[in-house]
Amino acid sequence: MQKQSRSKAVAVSDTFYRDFEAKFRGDRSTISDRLRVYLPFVRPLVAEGNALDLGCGRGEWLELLAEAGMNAHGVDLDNGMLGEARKRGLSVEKKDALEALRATPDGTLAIVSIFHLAEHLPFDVLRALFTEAARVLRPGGVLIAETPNPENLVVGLINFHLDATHVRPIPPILMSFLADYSGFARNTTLRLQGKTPCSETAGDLMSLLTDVSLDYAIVAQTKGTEMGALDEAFALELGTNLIDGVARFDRSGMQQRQFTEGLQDRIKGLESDFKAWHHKTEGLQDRIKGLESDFKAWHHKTEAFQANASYRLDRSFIERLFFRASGRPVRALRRVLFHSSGKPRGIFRKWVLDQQREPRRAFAHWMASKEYISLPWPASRCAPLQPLLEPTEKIEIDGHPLRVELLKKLDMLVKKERKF
Amino acid sequence: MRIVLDLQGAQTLGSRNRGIGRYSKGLASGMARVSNPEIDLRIMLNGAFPDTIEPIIESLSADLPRSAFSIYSAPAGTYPPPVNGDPVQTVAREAVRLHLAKLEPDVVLTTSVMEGFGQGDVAASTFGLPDVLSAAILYDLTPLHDPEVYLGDIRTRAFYERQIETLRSFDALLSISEASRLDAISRLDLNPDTIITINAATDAIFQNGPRQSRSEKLPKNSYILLLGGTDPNKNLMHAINAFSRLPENLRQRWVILHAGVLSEKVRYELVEGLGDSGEIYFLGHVTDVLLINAIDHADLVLFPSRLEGFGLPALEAMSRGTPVLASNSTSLPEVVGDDALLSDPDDPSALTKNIERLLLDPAYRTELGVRARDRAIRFSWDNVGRTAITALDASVRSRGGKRLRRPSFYEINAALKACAGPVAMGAVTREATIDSLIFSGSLGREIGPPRLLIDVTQTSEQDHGTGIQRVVNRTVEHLQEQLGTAQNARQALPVVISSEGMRTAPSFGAAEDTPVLSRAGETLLMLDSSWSQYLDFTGTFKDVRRYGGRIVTVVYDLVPLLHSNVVHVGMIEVFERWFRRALVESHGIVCISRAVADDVVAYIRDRALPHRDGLRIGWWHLGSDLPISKGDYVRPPRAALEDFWDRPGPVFLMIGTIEPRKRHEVALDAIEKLWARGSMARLLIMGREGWNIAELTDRLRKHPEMGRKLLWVEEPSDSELTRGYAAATSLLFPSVYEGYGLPVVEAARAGLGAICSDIPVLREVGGGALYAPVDDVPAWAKVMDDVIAGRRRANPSDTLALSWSESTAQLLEVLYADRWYKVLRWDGTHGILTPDEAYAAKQNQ
Repeated sequence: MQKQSRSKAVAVSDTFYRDFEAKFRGDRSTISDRLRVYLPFVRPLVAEGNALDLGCGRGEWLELLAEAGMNAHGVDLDNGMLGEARKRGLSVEKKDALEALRATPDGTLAIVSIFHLAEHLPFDVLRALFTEAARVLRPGGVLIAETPNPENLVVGLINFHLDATHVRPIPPILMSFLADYSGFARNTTLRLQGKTPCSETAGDLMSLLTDVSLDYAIVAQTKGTEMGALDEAFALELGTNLIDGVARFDRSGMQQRQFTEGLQDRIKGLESDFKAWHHKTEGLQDRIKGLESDFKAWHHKTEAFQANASYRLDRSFIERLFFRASGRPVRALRRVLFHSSGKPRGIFRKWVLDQQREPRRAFAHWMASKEYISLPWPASRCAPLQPLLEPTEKIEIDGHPLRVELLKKLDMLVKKERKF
Repeated sequence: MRIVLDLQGAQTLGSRNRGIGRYSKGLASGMARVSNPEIDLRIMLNGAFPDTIEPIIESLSADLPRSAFSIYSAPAGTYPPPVNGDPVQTVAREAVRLHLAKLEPDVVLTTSVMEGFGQGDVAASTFGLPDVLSAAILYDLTPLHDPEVYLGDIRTRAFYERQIETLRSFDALLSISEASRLDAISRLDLNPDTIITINAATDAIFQNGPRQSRSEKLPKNSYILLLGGTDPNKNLMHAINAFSRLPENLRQRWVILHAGVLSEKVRYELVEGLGDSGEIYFLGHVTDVLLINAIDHADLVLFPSRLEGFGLPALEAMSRGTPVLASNSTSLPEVVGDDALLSDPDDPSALTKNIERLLLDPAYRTELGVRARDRAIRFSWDNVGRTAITALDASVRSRGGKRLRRPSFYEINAALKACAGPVAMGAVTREATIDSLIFSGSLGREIGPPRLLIDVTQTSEQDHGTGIQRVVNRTVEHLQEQLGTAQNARQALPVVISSEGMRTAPSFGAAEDTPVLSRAGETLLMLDSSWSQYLDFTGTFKDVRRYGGRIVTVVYDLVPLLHSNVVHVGMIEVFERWFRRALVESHGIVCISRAVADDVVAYIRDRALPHRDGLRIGWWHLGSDLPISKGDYVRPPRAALEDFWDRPGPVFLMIGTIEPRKRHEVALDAIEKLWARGSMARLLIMGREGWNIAELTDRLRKHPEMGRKLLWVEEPSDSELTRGYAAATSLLFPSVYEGYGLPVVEAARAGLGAICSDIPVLREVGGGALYAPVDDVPAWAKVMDDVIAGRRRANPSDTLALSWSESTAQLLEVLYADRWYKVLRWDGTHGILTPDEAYAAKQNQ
């Protein structure tokens, strides 16, 4: 009696569930397409018997079975759903699922299916349902139970609970065990509506959360000689489970890391190459500096020579008349224009020096030469900077200008002293 | 203040390795580190000990430049000196007197009065120089406590008594401890005000030396360190007695270790005295490092000395943080400070009690050690130096001496007279006497009091009346006036320098053109702008320096270096060459304002220019007189100017040569702005056209307002200038760089406020003037507007309007009262010589 009232409590209002399904489950065509996954299981059993769909809803599965050529009957407790199913001309009945099974005699049905019903039932009811299904099915018949897959973390933690009438998420291995326990010979877990893994989405957390299959189904077969027909179907491996998803996620993480490590190695390699290069360039720079200084030295050496040569070649007639080959004015000219110390005479200063007190072109060569500079007057003007840390300037004592005078004075005083 | 420190105490054989020597060196470094540019510390060294001179200069090289050291030489005397005194000391004293006279000190500080007994020592004396404060360091009067022990020999006693008399005659004494001071006051009957305690300190190595692992030479087991020498007053036996009274277990666990030189006899006595009660080891002579090691690893230090001047070993132990047990007599309580560590030097049981207490309680030992170290930090050479300088400063001031140093010239004839006696006796040869006098006194080519030589080469050649030449004229005039008064024997002599030497300047009042011979210790002030002939002066500079003189260069401004775009290209090169040379040749650089001094220092530092080590930088302010027209041809005022004054409206005045640096265009732009707003203000520019300003002068000449609101008067006469100052509203001075800002000062003198550009030198000099940013025309227009409207007013009475006599007084303060601003050190390594300079320097080596 309690279970009854609980099942009754599930049907809250007629249109609520329909609207909810409409919003969240998808429309008929989508669902029908999804259900085609089971056809490999259905087709071999078409001739064997009838099918019973518990919690048939709008009857998409019934239609599919009918398409495949099977006689199918459905039960549901929701009037709205039943109305729709009836509209489509499906054979449906308003009855409780477990009651419907109990009312069926042993070994008569080929297929029993519960699509998205298991999560609405208390676990005891589900157990009972499985046991009854095992009784009711003929040898080799299958029980198909589809329910949301809590391995998909989003489903298990969030979306499952959007429907307030869901009891609790049922992990696949629980249902699989239940199937074994209830006496089915074998069962397989099909994971459905998962994204096909592709390398692009493999690596991110989003894929991990969303790629794992949203639903799963346990297809359990009773023992029987006709089992073999479904061998192929049972061999199908569908869907993505959580472990694989995590493994894929980890693998992609590792791939990323390896990639980064590879990059780092490359960078290190580049750095060491660069360093080597840099050393080479420094070496080259040093060589260049050395070459530059060599060149400068050589240039200095040849500058004088060049200046001399260019001077010799560029002279005008007058210059050649008054100046010798080395640029030195002839003696007469020197004596007229310069003092013997090398200083230009005042009267002729303007002939020798220009406004800026630089030598005029004709005299420039000679006045820049060593010979001229060593004369007293230029030498005093170019006196170099004295060494800076000279010792305390010493006075010459022996040659001191006052020494003789002071000695004389002292002698006089001593003589006076001695007189006393 | 110039202090001459006689470091003979660190040189003589008798003192250099003992307390006196170390104290002298420490005091010198402590005083040198008092970084006050107004304290000029010189060190005087005895040339008779040549191998000590370099090490001393080297050890103080971080704090003092080489030029602070000077050497005198005296003929060697006889050893030991005769009872009545060595006649050679007379000659020595004269030589030192001449040496000091050349240095012109304010204070002479003798580090060791008890010299003159050895060979080559010069006996200390007060040297009898007028206006010089003689001071000496007082160590202790130990010989007076036990005359029989110390003064047994008749010659020694005579010498000692002589030196005590000398000690009495010093003007001020600096004592190394309070106990010493009180002892001297009572025994020698001295005036307490003349002795000041400056304390002592240990070498830095004792404070900062790292703790090393135990040396091989130290005993393996725990030991107590005993310090003290052979002297009976060191009281080593007392420590032995105290140790033998310790309980058996302590005597077995600890041994005594003695560090220091001991005579055989004393060693034997100590060993005998200790007997079987304990063990004693002797380290003998220890270096500082080993002593530190020994102190570090000792558990306790005993310093039982009964009579100490200061007690340096105690302080050394304290600085390492090892507790030292000392006696409570003389200066040790001052040094050790902690009563727990002191005991009666004659009561062994008291010392035993202390030793026992400390040996049994390691924690207490550590605590005492830490306290001791904290106390020891207070005794540093820096503190000693600072105290000494403060004391000397106070003494100098209390004598009421004038700030300006008078030449302490010492007449050579008096010296010769004094030396005649010893020479007549045959104690010393005449050549040796004269040579030592010449060397010590750095006698010049001429004998006479040192003068202030002023270079006036350019101005005497051709006086164009430029700013610098005006300054030269005025400064020389007032220097001669101020120095020529009877009080001061120093003479201000303008000289003309050429490659042949110095000659007097007839255009500056000399009777005739005669050569000038250098005397000892003269100052050559390069006042004139002889930039292009600077190379000719090298010989003269060498001469001046050779005879103990110094060269002080005047820098008016650094326009060619800092604002080279406003000067002729040729000028920059000449100026730069001159500046670099001047840095090397001069001992001091005086600038005409603090701002220029800052510029000079910054320029030298930025380019790391080589200069003389210890180069002093100073500044003084120029004066301003309204020019007295000395028979000037008074032109009748121009008609245009008369018209200008007759018109209404406030007048802004600009005075000075029109040059790019003066930024006349800023004022013109600003006033054009005001005219655009319809102001009645007018601009009067007085000054002739300068160089490179053709664009502006064109603009002025073609200006529409010329003659009405704008007037430019070239070559204004003095009366026109005076009228301008009197009648104008404000002076405009938007110059971008100035050495001094004379126009602002002259205007202020005449009661005219100024609007100046906001540069440091005008802030320094301008006082109550108004300021506007450089080249900022709107700001200038605003300020001018404010002035016209009366919202703001410059206060000319705040401006530094010195008269020329005040200005020359300032200059004399810098030269002879050491009012320097900064002292620059140069270690000769980071200077950048141009390639030809480096080449030339190499040639000279």
